Amino acid sequence: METTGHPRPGKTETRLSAVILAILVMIGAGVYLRQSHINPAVVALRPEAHRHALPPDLYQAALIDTKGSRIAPFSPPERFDPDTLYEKINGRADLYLSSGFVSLNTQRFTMDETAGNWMELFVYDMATPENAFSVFSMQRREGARTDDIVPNAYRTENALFMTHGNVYLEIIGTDASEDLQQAMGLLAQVFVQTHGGTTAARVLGADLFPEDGLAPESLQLITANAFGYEQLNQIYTCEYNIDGTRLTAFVSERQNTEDASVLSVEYQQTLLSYGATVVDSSVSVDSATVMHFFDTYEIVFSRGRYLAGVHEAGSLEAAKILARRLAGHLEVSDGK
Amino acid sequence: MDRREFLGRCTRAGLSVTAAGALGIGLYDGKPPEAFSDTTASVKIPDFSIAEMKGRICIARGTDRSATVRQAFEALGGMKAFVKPGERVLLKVNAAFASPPALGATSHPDLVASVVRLCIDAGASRVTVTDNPINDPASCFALTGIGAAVRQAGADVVIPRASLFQRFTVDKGRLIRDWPVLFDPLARADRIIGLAPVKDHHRSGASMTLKNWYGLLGGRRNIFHQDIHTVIQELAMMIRPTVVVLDGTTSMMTNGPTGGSLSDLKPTGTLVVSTDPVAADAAGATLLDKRPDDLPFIAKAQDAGAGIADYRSLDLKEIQFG
Repeated sequence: METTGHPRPGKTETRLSAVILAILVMIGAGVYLRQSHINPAVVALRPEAHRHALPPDLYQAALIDTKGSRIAPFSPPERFDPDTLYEKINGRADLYLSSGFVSLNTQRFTMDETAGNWMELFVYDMATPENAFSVFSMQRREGARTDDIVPNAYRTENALFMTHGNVYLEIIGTDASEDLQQAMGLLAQVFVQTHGGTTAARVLGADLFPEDGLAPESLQLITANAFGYEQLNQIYTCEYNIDGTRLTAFVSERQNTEDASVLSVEYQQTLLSYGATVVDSSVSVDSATVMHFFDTYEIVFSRGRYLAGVHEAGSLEAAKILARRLAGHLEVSDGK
Repeated sequence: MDRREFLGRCTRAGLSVTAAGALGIGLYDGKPPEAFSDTTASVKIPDFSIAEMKGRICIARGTDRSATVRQAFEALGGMKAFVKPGERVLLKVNAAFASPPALGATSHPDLVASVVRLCIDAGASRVTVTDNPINDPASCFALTGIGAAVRQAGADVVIPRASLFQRFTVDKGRLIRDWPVLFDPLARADRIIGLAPVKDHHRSGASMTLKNWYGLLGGRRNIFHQDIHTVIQELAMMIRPTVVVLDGTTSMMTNGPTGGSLSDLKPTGTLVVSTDPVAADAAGATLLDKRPDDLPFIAKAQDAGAGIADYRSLDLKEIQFG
């Protein structure tokens, strides 16, 4: 049959064509939708994928709101609980877990014009200010520069560390640039302002120790298992320099006088059971026992509701001097 | 073509499309593969060591990682003594954290790239680099700079995923029993080289080449921290490497294994290349101002036959570079 021109297609042909076109549209839509859910691992390896500013809604979700500054988040916030903390900090998790850790929130930030530099914010919820101070003090870097943003804060070449209420906060920079230092200060300020202001911060334990011979910024709080003895918890320590000898003093406030006295005796007995020997030497401090243990000296006593002493002293005379100062200071503190 | 023929062709085409689509839907598996479907079998990890190279160690002093590691391998006979032409080499690096290389918590990308190039120059047919950092491995390889350095040097990064793990039991082991291990990259390698930085470690006292194998474990491996020295001993039994590279160019002296502050680091200007990982770690302990006796896992690994702690009794070469 010969035809001329373009005859009008029949209804069946028209419907079939419409169906085929519809299928093609559906396939196209499927491909489009699928590619918007691409596996992040496909692109995550590329460094540039980590350095682009994030969508505006991420500012809303950011741990610290940096809108209006030149700091921008460049990774989403991450949250870790006691079960998953090791995924983030591996072998250091034990320190936090033994100190009342509740959660960790982290996020990376960078500055608009310096994409090569970035910093990571770690916000540890430690449940109490004491726990937060403990992990802060246990990791304090020697010779670090004190920062006055809050009472417990210091900086190193590339990082800022501080406590604020129940929170222990770290901001770790990729290098020692001044730009990053300024940005860290800004982040910390915003965090403090949005979390109770500076009134939420206070120095813990510092007034338990006499100032004479005290090494600056040496205060530590050991929340559990201090000196390897399970019963010793909530122990504050400070370093002293007495006549050229480095010494460690410790103090712990207990519930009452009896608790302090009982713990003092138990700790002494534990040391003796591990091979310590009592030194026949007067220290002029009531209830104090002086012991010789692995080439060092231990002095343990109680004063009112305080357990106290000198730990691993290399010099007996210096240890006795420090014990007397400590006992005198605690008598005044206990009377307050 | 008449209408009848046209309709016939359209029908056949439609049926073909439908059949192909149905086949595709039928074969599509929306669920990821089961990680460990075989609960009874335990794979065997090959011994990657070279008998005639046993007990070799070079302690090289220098600050330029690339130059120092090259000289150290030269002192031990060159990379060709360890990698033969055509062999596939796996580098097990430390990419445990998504932190920048300056913080010293991970293998330095310059060192990793240098070892990759040495392997390629020795004739390796393929060089792959892996680690199992648990927390977002892709970010860890990217932000440490290792991923980019490795690709630029001509090697591939293996990002761990469930299908690459197999259950493994250390023979006579107590802890690593029927435990998921990043096996696939091991199975595809003829030689394995461990690269680890020298670091303080909150639990084990130090993290060096022996502890570095921890990154081959999967699952909730943190439970092993309760008996860290024993698990390191078993890791030493699990992997018999071709050679290890311990990077003490700078050492993390405090707050390990994560560090965080540049003040946690100390320039120690030393790089150890050894076929004996126990010896390498014993030498590395001194960089952390420790004695090998201070690190119980070293004696335990020696007891397990993984090496000799008295590294000075081995075929020791000491070189100074730069």
